[in-house]
Amino acid sequence: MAILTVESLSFKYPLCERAAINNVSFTLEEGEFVILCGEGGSGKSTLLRCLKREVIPNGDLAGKIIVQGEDTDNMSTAASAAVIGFVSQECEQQIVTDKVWHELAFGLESIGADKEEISLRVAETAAYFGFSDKLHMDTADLSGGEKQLLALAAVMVMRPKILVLDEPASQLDPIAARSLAETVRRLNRDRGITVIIAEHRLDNILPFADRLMLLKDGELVICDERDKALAYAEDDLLSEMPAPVRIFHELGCEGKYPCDVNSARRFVVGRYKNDIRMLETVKGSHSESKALEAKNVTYRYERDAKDIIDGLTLTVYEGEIFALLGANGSGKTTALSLISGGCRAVSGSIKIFGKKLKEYKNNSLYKGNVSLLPQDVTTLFLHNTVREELSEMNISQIPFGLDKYSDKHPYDLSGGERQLLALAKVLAVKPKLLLLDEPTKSLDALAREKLLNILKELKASGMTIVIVSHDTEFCAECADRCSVLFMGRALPPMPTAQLLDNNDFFTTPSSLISRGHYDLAVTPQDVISLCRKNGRAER
Amino acid sequence: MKKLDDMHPLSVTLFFLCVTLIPMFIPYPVITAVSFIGAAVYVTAQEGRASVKTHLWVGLLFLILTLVNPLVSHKGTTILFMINDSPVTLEAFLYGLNSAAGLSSVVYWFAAFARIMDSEKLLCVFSVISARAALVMSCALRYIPLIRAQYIKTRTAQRSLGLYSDGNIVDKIRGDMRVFSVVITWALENGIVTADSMAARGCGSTKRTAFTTQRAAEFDIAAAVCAAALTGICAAASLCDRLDISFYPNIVMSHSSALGDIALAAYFIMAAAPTILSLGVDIRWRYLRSRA
Repeated sequence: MAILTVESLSFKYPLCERAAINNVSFTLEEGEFVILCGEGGSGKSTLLRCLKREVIPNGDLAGKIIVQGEDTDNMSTAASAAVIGFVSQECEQQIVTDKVWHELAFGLESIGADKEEISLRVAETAAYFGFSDKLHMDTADLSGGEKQLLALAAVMVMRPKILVLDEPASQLDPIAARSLAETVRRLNRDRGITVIIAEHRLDNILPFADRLMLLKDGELVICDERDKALAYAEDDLLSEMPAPVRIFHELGCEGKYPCDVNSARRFVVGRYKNDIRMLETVKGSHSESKALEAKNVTYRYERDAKDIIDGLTLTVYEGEIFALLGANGSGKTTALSLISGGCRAVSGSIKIFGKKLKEYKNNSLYKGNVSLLPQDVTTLFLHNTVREELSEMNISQIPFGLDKYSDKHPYDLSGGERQLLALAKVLAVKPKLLLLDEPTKSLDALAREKLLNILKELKASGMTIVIVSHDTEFCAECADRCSVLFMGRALPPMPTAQLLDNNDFFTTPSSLISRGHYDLAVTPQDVISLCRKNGRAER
Repeated sequence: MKKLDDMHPLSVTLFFLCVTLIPMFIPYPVITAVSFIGAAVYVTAQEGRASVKTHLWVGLLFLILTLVNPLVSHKGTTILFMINDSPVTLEAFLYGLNSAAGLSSVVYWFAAFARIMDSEKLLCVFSVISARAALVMSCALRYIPLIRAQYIKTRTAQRSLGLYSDGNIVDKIRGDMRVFSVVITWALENGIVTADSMAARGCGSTKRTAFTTQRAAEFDIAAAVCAAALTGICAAASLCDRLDISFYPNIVMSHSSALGDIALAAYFIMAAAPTILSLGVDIRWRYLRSRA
């Protein structure tokens, strides 16, 4: 049975010439799991918001949306609020109240349900999502992943038939993203909830998808079963796909696309020879002069608290890209903050270019030496337009292709564009050492690619870069050396490929796919080149 | 039997309103004294050693209030001694002592009230006024710490841009202004996300239900009725002029009467109730444990 029918939907933002959504029609069957793809600015978010009457942006909307045979325009407010659940990417801001139980009750309070019913449904939902022992906690004390799970639970409490998810995991670390994806999958499988989801990283959800949709410049160009769609898809869809699909596609194979590591591994190991086990790579040599030297640094936030950084010893050489991996709460952000002088170490010494931090007097540290790109880049934006934002830093030539947005408000940019604008701002002081805190968070495939190229150019120009990230695939592409932060210490650094190929969790899908068959193949490109060199195995 | 801590927040609020309003409106020395002692004993029993700090503060307040009145007011007929040709009178001193006991006892009661009422209980009280008021309070409790955290993050980020400096006071003020402005923009922009999230869950569609985690048991209702009744007796006695006192020029108290004595007993019960309930619950708990 069709649960959602969209008929020739168009949407135009005020003051825009082009329609953001142009004549989109599709039908979803009950219980389908649909992934909506498309690069930044293709209208994914707008389309998803148009499906939910309460969050339609300001602008001209044409077309019909029919849920369970009823036009949404004719629905009562309470029914319309309940039938479609909407979760956006901002895990912090979509939580409204201060206590977990109140957040769960919020939706039902709003539609005037009686108290007994609220109690029952909150109890049920809390048990299903694992919040039973956290009901009286402050929402502020939850981790990012838990917040997003709470946002999902707070929507599920209203018993929606359709879940509309707008990049729900883009702010989360990989483990939280995975557990969120599993939960959505569980709701889809056990409860028959129809899911339509847009996401940057498809690794976790592609295996669950029944159908793929691709938006391009506001038009729906692909809307087909997953395997069929992948078979005839072109680069615009495939560039967003995870490593298994990309490897299979690049090698020009026919048949069912592998969507997870396991099937991709069987494909690579089964079909390709491994006479050449390793690519000849340029040995990661580094200069001998030290850009950053930290020795036995310790730090804690409160006098009686535990040391969050406990004996951090780390050397980064000039001209290299160094990546620091680590779990949530392992102190990665704190480490960057210490290096950039944002907070002062309790003990130990930090030298930047051979000079102790405290010898950089009067902000001279931030004038041509060190720059930090924070995790939340909105903390850098002060003005109303991109141009003002940059001219404040004495940048007249707008870099990174941002010139077409020069009159836009920084908050109206996509995640990727914001990141580039912030990067342009912190680069304005011409630092010799650039620190990046989770630079790929909330970036889509295209923006990641762009950032990657920028970092490579900066490195070529002699800049030293330290990246703190969960994104192992990104680090695999650009970092020379890597270390894992654990118990407040940095484990001995290794060349990136070696470290990733040796790890089971801080590693890349490509490494897992090719492990044992090939050595040190940590990016899709590595695996593809090795497969090509070796050729197909005889059957 | 229940401690005040475990009672329904509305009963608790009503009780504290009554127990503080009576000494405020009926400044009869017996009442202020009972209020002061009752409150001090309760705070000590509840907080144990941590109450020392409260006692020191209240003691200081008590001392100041007692001493200031005779220095400022020179009414009264019994002169104790002279300071700078101004008389210090016994009546003014006793008046100061009485009002100090009254006011200090209010501070004690408030300290006890604040300890009992956490944000969930306050929310419950608000939700009786209106479901919207409760929502506004809950949002405020969520957003004030969030904005504070964003302020700290922003300050660090802006500092590393090299535009914010601690060098001199003008630069520092300018830097703080920048941070403030960034945080305001952030709060407004993110308010839109929150508003969407609220609208998506049907906020504003119909009359809100005010859901709370609190439960009213028969004991809570009975306690509230008792508190109201005892307050009624005190009010009646006061209205019939049985609990009057005037300090100037001479101290004149109303004569002992049946109604007045009953009212004093009523207030004594109220002021002692929190401690008695708390003790009673503890004894009963031990008894139950010993039988298990």
